[in-house]
Amino acid sequence: MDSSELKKKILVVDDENSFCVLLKANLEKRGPFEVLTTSNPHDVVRLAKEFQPDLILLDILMPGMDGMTVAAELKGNNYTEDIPIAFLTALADEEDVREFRSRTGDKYILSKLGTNKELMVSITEIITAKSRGE
Amino acid sequence: MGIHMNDIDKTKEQLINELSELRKQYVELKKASAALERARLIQSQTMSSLGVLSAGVAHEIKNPLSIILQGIELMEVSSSKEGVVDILAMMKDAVFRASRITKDLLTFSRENTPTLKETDLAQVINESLSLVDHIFSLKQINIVGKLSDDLPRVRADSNQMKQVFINLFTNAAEAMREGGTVTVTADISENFNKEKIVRIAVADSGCGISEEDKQRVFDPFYTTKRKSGGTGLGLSVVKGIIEKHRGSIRIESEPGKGTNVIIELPYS
Repeated sequence: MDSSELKKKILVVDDENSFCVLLKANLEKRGPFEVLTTSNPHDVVRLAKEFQPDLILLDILMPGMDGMTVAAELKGNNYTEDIPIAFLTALADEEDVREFRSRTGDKYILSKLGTNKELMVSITEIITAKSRGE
Repeated sequence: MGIHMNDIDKTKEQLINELSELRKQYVELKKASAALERARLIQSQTMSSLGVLSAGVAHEIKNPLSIILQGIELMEVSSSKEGVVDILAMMKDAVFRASRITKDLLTFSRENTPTLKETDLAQVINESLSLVDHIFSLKQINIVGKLSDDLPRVRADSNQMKQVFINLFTNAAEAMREGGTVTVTADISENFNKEKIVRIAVADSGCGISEEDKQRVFDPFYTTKRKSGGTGLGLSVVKGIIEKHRGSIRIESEPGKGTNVIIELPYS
């Protein structure tokens, strides 16, 4: 089996290109991930259809089209509606996210200001939950 | 008749004088009240603009911080040189500190009106403790809870109260570098106005606070922990929240003898 088949595919959407480049490098260096990035929210549906990621990490505040609108477009498309989406935002820090999680159980809000170790735990958790049909 | 006309006139004159004095005082009081209302309005508008500005600034600062953090973490996995690892750890701490400052500034500048609901304070305290549990374990700090079984439900904003307790617990942990004990007490009592209150005390066995610092701990941006990342906004935010709940907060402390923070919240 090709090792790339074991890798989980992540699509990162963030208007900060430097963030995309560095996050891709970190995730691919630290875990079994293949990461595709885009800084253009208008490209997300097309890229998601072609790449068929296991998870989309989506920034919330982006110029042109915000993350919520992108998420709605993804959910409204037959080819992308089942792909899990997690919001990766600078609005909340890791402490906020932990508290939000403990209160709501929601694991789909992630902080850009957390460590990659924590981020990878959350990514794995979401992908595993999806594969179990949760 | 025992009362002379002179006496009546004198009393009448006296009453007129007093009435005139009262009128003057009433006018002055009205002026002062209007000035206070204007000042409140200006403060509210200033804080509101500051809140909007801070929210924008916070996001604009946190985005580049997240890029720096990613860069540091990439260098961490690419280099195992001892000196470099230490430098990267320091840089990472600085990123988290800057992030915390923007967050505290944002909290401080927001005019957060509490959403008051019947709240079980014991539950809020226990949930807050569970969120800082890892810090206490790391620093070998024991927690002693003395929460009265008959605590009444208090009209409070549970999220804001959680913020209060997390702040106080974190401060207590920071005051006990060698470990120690945090005692959390909650019971019912009466304040000096004979109002029924819930009194919550968070006492630590840490280094205590000097008289000079005690006078200023609630001042915005005043901190004794600048080097370790203190922003000086934590306790001023706490005080603001408690006052919006019509409560009061005070600190009893002596250097070397620990600190006791006492919060009183009315209930009826």
